[in-house]
Amino acid sequence: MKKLLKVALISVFLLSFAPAVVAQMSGEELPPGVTADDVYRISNKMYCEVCAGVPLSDCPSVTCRAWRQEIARLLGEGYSDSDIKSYFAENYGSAVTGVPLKTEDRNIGLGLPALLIVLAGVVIGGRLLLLYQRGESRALQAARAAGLRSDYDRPVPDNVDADALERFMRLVEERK
Amino acid sequence: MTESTYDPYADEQRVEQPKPKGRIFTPFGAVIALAAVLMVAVVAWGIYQNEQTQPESGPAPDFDLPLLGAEGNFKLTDYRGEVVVINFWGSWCVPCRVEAPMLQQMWEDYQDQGVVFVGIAVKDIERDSLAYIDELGITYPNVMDKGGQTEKDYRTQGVPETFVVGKDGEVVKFFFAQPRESDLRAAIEEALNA
Amino acid sequence: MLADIGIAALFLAFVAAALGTFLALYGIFTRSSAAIQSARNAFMISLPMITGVAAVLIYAQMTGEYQIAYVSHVSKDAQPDLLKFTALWGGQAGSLILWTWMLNLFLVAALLLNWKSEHQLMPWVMVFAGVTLAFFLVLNNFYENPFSRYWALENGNVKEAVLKPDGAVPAYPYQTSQGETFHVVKDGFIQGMPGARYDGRGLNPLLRHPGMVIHPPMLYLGFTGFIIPFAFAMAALATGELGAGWIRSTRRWSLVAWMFLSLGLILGGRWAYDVLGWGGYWGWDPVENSSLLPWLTGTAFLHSVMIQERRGMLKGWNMAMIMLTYLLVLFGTVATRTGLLSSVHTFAQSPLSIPMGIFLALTTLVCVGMFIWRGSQGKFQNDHALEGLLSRESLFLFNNWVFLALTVVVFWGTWSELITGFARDAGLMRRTITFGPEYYEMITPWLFGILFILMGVAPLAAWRRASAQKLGRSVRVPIVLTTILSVILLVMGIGALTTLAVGLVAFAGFATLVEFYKGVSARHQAHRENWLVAFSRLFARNRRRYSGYTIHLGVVVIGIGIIGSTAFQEVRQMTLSPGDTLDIGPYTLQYNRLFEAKAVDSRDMMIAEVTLYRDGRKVDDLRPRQDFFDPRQNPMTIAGQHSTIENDVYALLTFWENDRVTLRVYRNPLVNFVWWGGLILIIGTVVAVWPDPEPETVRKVQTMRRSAYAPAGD
Repeated sequence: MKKLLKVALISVFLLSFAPAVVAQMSGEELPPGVTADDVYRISNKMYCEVCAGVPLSDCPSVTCRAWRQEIARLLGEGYSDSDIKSYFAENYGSAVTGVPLKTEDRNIGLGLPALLIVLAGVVIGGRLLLLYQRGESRALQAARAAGLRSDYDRPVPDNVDADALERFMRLVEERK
Repeated sequence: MTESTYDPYADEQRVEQPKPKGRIFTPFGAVIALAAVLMVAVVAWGIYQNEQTQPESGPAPDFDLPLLGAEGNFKLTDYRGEVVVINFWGSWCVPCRVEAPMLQQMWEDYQDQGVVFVGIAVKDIERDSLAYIDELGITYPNVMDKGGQTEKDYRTQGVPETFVVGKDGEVVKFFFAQPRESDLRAAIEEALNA
Repeated sequence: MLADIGIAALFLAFVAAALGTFLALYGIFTRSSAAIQSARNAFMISLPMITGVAAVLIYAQMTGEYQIAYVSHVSKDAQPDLLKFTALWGGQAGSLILWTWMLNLFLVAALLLNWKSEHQLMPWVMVFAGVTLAFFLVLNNFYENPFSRYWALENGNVKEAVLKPDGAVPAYPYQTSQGETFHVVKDGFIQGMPGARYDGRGLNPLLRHPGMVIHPPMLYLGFTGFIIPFAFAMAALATGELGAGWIRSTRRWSLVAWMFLSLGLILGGRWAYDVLGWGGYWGWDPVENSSLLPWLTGTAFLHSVMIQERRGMLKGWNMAMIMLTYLLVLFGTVATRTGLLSSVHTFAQSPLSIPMGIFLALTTLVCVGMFIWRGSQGKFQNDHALEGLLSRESLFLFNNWVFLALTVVVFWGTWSELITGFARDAGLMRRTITFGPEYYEMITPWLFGILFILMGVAPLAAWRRASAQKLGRSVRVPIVLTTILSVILLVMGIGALTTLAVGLVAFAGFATLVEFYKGVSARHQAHRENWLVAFSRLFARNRRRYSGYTIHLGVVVIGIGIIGSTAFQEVRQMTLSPGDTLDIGPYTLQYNRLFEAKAVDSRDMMIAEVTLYRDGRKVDDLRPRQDFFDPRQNPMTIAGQHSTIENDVYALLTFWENDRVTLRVYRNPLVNFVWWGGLILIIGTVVAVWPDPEPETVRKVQTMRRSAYAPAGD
């Protein structure tokens, strides 16, 4: 019941927002010397929580509009692109940029996948070498030692369709 | 003969498989097991976090944020022994403007009785916040949620949201959206008398 | 009444699935073939039951049974019939029904197709697929029942419940501009409000697009399709029969699932391009990533499995890859359906979190546990040794590494917020880390570049041992062609990095085309067939190989599209008064006027009329617009598009004031290659999975019998 009440409250809450939410994208007032293309260049590489999955430049919410307006203002005051990004990251958290700006976060964030990839490479490379050196199964080794027929020397056909070959071999099995 | 499945390596199976070494975890297996357990833990933690809502009791998460329009910071734990009313707002939020005069009035009523009001501006542009405070004549301290962490700590779903924190630093009452004046007054009284 | 039928059928489906799973287990341990047979029948029965459930739900959507909460959330009278139908997958409860239905469909298909050939594995396949099916039916029945209805209680409150509460009467929603209210209905009208019709809320506007009609079902088919390979893998682990049997069936089923997943990804991109209005088709959004991840590992598996088929190597590796694929499907599903990863697509916070979390944990631990158990028994030993470090096998392994690297990068990017949040709470980190598109754009192109090189080289390398000289000779022509192309591009003034990217993709393309040419011309000369006949016979004789090449060609074409539309994309925006123009590349857009209109489905539209000129000649009229469905929701920005082979001009109306508008215009060169490449890829896959007609088999066998492979004495 409590949950239902909450849902009801949320819808009331959203309703009270209605006139504000239906604001349109962009339309910021641009200080002299700043173009819409400039604002887009920066805001297209920034994100706000309100519009998950959509860059700031394309988010229609009022908050995002205010953010874009601020970008335009800062540009007018002569801030550089990276100054603006770090200003926003400082104020609203590191999630506003696609890749964290703080060196420590960058090192962890980019280092960890790199490390994992190298690790995977070591595992795969190791298996490759292992296969190369002593890949033959002990069962097969025993079979060969015992002089049993083995398909080890069977040529690996590349010009025959694998499925067709398989069906053929099955037929042979059945004939035996 | 239909029941015999074809196996191109059938020859080998006629030979006894030698007993393997009695090792359970190969390095490869250990890495996989570790990763699996870790991911399950992360998902469990995530689900637990998702199930949580705004704190309605228990210790209020601390914050130490820069004041808007003044020097210095506001640190919640500095106000132990006083009742603190925390209001999350944004200058772009219409309901916040509606409730602001009521909050200001309430603060004027209670400021001499050991009640502190603090507004936290979220996702807001500083000059817009300052204009908002000025326009609505708010005189209680307001801070910027710099870094956006406080909003997350209180798990707010939007603005306005209001928390009443008791003298012991425990959350007494949480209000989703605009609180009714009488409800807020009751909550403050309750916190004062606790 | 209608809903009651649905509720009963849904419950019976659950009973059947649970019984089937139990009987399969019972049959395995008592060696009772009767029980196994009954288990099979149980799953055959649950399918029509779930089909019935879906039919009832669709019927309710079409006829407007708005007492059913789900129906009122996704359907309304004014909705076109097609969308009333597809509303089945427009929300959580309905799409879960579709999900379950597909699971059961795949299981039944496997039971029919593989019952005889894999009869040792089938009981266990039923157990593992059955547990999953039964679990989803638990969700359908007890957590997200699509037949939950509105009831007016005696005390005047309205309650949502599956079964009728005591003394309650049905309540129906009534839509006003303020939201919805619930009322008791008499003779089709709301009591006490003469003439007022009850109605549903209707489908989320973002989902009212043709892409949404078939994108989710394809994606779901891709996801659920992996249940069969997974169940085969688990069955192989359970029985210890880790030879060729499970691989044989698994490869085909994986290919089927992979095809649907690819189709789902491509259609999803198209939908995003048309509807989301930001000029792109892939946003590296958590939901998109969650469907890309199993695609990456699935693709890796489809390559590495060939090594096991031909050489009996990498048994453990392949097992791990198919399990990883399925687990990624599961992790993605749980994460997106329970709102763990925030995203535009996420369903609202739901009661599914806990049961889904538990199921995920159990599946993961059982998977990993069984894998390690069999591994410790030495069941994954290789049949053969690798004979040369340069061989098809080693190149395929290299390919697997790159795919795995991509998986790591995308997984970390998608899950980092959650993982670092966990680490932060555990005191290991100070802040959480989140990633946006730049992260992926920074790393993945390099990895995809390596894949394109491998795509060109690996198919030319011989199995077992390839000689570098021979390999070098076979890549000579593609390399020469690529070099010529690169020089031309550089002379044209195209940047070095872009040239490199184009070069890598082109190399893979040339290598594949040369292979086609070699095959066709060999037939043309040897059998004196004309080129077309030679081409089609080449396919018929060696379908698997050449369909693989076709898929590669599709990927190459997609690659060209992606490079074109990212490296050469242009964006311009301007605020214009009527008559003003905006230049972009060779195009000029003239803004004429702004007007309002109302669509058939009662949405309000604000339309800008724009004329598009190319080199001074009029080529098209564009109508970028914004659609307003509901004052409670953001408007939808629909682009005005002009599409040619060379370019897409994509115009968005982003703002207006009086008759001044702000337009954002994208020029997306070659973006259509993405869709065409997708089509080629799908065609290639269909050819690859198409079942063999029998006569061909016979003919093939006869041909082969005459060849050197005939065993002596036959």
